[in-house]
Amino acid sequence: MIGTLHDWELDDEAYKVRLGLALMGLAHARVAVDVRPGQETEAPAFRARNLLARLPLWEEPGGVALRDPQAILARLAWHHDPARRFWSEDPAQADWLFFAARELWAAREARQAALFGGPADHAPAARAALRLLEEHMADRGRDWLLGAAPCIADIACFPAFQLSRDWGLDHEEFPRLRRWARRLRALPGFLRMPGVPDHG
Amino acid sequence: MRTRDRVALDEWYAVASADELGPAPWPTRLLGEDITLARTPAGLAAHDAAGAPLPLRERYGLVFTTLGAPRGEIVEIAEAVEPDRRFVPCGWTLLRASGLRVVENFLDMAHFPYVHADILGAEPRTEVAPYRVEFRREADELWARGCRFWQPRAAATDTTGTMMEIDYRVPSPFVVMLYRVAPSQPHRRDCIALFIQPMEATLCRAVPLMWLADDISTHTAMLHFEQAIFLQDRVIVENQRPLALPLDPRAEIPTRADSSSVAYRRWLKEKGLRFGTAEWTGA
Repeated sequence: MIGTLHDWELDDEAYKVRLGLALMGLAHARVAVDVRPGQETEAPAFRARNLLARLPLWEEPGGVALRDPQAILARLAWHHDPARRFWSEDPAQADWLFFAARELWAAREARQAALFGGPADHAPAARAALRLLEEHMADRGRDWLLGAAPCIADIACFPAFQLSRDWGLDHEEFPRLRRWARRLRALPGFLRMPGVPDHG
Repeated sequence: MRTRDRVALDEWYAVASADELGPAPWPTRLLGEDITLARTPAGLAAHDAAGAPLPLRERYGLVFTTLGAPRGEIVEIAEAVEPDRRFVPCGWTLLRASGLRVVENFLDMAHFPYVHADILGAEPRTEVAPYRVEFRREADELWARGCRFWQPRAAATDTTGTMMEIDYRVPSPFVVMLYRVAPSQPHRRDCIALFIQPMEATLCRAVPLMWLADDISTHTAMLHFEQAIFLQDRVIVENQRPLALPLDPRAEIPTRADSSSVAYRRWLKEKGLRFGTAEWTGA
């Protein structure tokens, strides 16, 4: 048991980590957190462990505690997966991890607003970020974000696209991302998110 | 603009969770109109877009209001007062669809093996056995009784699969409930109610409440089980076309498995409800 993931099945950020753990086949513990309606992430007990008061939270027996899904994926791929199958030697891996954290955050906001309500409309920014990803995949007909194999950047960018129907964005306009997502879903150990069909 | 549909107006609607209201004005929408709620030192208060006060009721941890003059009261749920029940309010979720579509989806068993694969159903056991539809004229409720469906994982406690027995109850157009055998206490029935807040004709919020007979699961396990199911349903409901519910019997072709849906549409038609139906013209 390498660590404990504080998790909610409906959380797209926590899904990045669940997906990484599943694809790397890493045994771990899971603590289910009542985010809605229980607001456990706002409670002092949780805030003491993650001052951002949100999921995910990854804790290792040795005292390592990480809260950013991209940082957790990097930790898993470099430190815990002995074969480092999802670690890319390409320095651009870091660029795409930051892209997942920054540009694609709009997709997270758009999904939250669509599911639970919220004032601002993040859908246009989220769609624009996914267009950039589509453009990148069109370049030289890539199979994966970097090179010939999937890496943690693919995992980190995947939920924003896969879950876009939750906020009303269809996949029709992203043919390359659709093929990319299909390849990712076919990887051994792939883990679904509730509400996401296995096809399309 | 507030609908002029008298049938829709004359109902009670859950519009908030009691514990999310504070002194700050809390805006929301009901039947096409902006309404505002607040919990003041004097108690709960609400007003419509014109500033007129609205009646309020607090039940089941929810706050109810109406824009009309309901003849009935908020549905009585006997399980809510059983002291050993585990009460699990599951939080509100927005759905871009008519609330009537959400009710109809809740009544439908045929989608279990496909939408809730390996949880509430599994191929190839897709058969919906015949069940009884009852119009309870006195209470003005619709029931579907004696429903049976093979469920591989009917609840958080269920690990072996079971031929689940379910009774469905529709106490008002935007409220739907089910009673199912509690997997860990088979002599009792779990009760799950879905309260829907119709905001626009094709936009609503819904909150599932559960009163479970379950001494085993953690609260969060029961909660997350239902939330995952509901998210699966949301994708399906949002992708039905039209988003409104057609009441014309020729609009969609039913099968025998759909007899509760056919009855629900007929019941709505008899009531004369139009808000959220495909026949609604926008007033």
